[in-house]
Amino acid sequence: MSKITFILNNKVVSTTQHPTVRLIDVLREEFDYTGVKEGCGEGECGACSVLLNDRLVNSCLVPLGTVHDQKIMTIEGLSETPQGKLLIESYSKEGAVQCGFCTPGMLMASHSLLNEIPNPTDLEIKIGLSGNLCRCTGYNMIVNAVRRASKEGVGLW
Amino acid sequence: MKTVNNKIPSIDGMGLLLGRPAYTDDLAEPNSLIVKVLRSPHPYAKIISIDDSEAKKIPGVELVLTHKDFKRNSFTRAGQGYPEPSPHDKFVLDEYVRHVGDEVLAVAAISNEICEQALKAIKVEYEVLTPVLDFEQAIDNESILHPEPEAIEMFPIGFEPKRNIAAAYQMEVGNVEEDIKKSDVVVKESFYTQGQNHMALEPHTVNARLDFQGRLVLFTSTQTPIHVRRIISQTLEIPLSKIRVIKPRVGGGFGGKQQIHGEMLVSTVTMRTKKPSKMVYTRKEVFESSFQRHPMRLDITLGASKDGMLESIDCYILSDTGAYGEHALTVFMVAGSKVLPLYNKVKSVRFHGDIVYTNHTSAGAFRGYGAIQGNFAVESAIDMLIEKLGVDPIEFRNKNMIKENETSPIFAIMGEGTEGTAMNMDSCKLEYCLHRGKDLIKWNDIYPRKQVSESKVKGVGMAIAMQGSGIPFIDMGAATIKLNDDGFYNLMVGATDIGQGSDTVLAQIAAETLMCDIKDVIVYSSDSDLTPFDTGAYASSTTYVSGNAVHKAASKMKKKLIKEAAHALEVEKDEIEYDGKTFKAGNKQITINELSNRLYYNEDQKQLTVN
Repeated sequence: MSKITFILNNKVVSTTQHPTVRLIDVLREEFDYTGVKEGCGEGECGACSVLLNDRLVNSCLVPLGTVHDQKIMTIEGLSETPQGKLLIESYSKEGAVQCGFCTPGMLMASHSLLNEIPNPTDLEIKIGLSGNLCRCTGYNMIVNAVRRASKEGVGLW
Repeated sequence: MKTVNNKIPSIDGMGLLLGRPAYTDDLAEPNSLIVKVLRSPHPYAKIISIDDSEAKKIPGVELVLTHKDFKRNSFTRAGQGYPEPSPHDKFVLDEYVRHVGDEVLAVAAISNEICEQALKAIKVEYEVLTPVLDFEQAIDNESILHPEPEAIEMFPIGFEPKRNIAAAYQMEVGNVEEDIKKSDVVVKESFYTQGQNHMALEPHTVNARLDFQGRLVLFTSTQTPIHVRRIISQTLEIPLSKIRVIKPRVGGGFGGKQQIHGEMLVSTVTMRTKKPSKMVYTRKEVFESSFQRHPMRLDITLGASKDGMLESIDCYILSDTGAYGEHALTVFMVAGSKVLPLYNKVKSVRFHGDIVYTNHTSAGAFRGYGAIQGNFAVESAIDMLIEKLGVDPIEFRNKNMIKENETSPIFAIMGEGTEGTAMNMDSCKLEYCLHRGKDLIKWNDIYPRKQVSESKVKGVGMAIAMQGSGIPFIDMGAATIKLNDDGFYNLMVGATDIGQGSDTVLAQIAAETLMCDIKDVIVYSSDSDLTPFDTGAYASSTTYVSGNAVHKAASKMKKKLIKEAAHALEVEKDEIEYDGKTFKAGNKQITINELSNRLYYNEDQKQLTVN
């Protein structure tokens, strides 16, 4: 059986699952990364967002085969980094977590946005998070959290 | 106040931010059987035959469930107190399918792929029936959705299934028709509202397993764990004591998870195979096969005098409950009971209507619970009346609306399925809201409109609304508080945190009352084996109903602590001063840590528990 090897949260891992299996299923079921959530299964809601070589992707739309030799980061990896820690603290302080189901994906998108634009305007934050749906907060607290992280994290991104 | 009224991070937020296993599907047994449902492609059909012989041959397929596997026990998925004000018109599986997406059969297999394969291999022959798709044509339609004798009402709700009427109601104060005839100005208008999906980010999810003693343990994404346990027990004929329902973190509800979803099927699969099983709705299933807001037609007639007094309101509502009658009557009632008392100066008011079956996705609870539909129609009609009268919208409402220390006869007449409860508005800040709102939207500057450019005008409008918190003499919450050694507490509540933050709010109330740090209150909620009764997260009631239960329990705990401290210090109770950490009486003192350790291990040994 062919083996697919990739870097998952800074560790080299491999799996014998079929290359057409969805990345989200491998992350949740084989590697127990429950921070990757499935909200829609068709790339609309962003709850399953992960970083593929530092680019934000919906893991429900990524076939396992395409991540061979590539780098994947989930919330479990991001939360160990200084950027992740600051984002988590900002979300917590701003009350940006309600039911929490969209939150890990939202954090991945926030990190990806700040990687590209370290000092985003509110409009840029909204555009940066536009691939991630939240039903509870009305988004204001999330935008505030990203703004706070950007201000407090000068030099991190 | 030290803890209440302070903005603090939610007590469960950090675990969720880190992505730790918390939600129903995160907590499924790793080797759970996957349960999937074959859903009807037809709005209305009778199942003539099911050929599952090929599917059963596929390795990995454990079980195929059809209507033949279930007793004809009718129930309602509504997730309300018992007896429910919703008709029992649903079967776990039935030989009729009543909307696109209705359950035909279920398959349990070792993987998603094998489930899908099995569903494709099953041949179902349908006799397609003429559906009722226009809710205005539902009453006395040739097609009848629920001719079966097992469809019943639990108490009189106007249930007439042979006429496609799930529920009906009429009440009148005074004589509406006469008053409207005599009115100087009359407005008669119909309004339509549409269906809507709750769209909680977490789809409906449930899993089941048997514990080592053979009890059925369900983890489910629900707003009503205690009702779920009762409905499963009644329908599947499993003794209540053999079922444990646990609600983990829930990814949003908004009313959409008050109702039962996959609980019956996973329970059945696990009971029959003795293996753990799980079911996660696809987003398509959430749209097609969960619940929606009741679409309605609201016919409003208003009569007023020339001098701007509203004299009479007539409100008829036709409500579309879809294929099953979950919350049929009660949502409709709220459209009247939480709107009409706003105008309590009228001479007469009538509220009546029919809630009808159609071959649409079933309707259920949804934030606002009918009040939104009623408010939209009544306030729109009021604006039309105001235009006809040529008076100021704010002045008109100020003159006609309910005020502090007033009441409305509607409170006593209309409840949710039964009679209501008389209420006096001991506190009512509607007048304040009216003036505050007026200032905030700069009413005086803008009303009715202001030219802001050559092609644009800016306008302002207004409406008033009311909402209730809980249902008197029906909703109930309870809390248990236990003192541990080292002086921290367990707070056990039946209240259901579905992401609205009730665990945090209730911990704040307990910490405030016990004068302790919120970190010393460990909340555990919604586990039918361990937490006390609570009706669940609905009717915007948790902070008020369950919050008061927590406050009462915490106050009792404080009394007990002071009694024990007085005993330990050998002083009278009223000599004790307590600051949340130390009990002092003159020059004697004992800390809460010392007291709790003493009660556990040394003197006067006992467990302090209150509820």
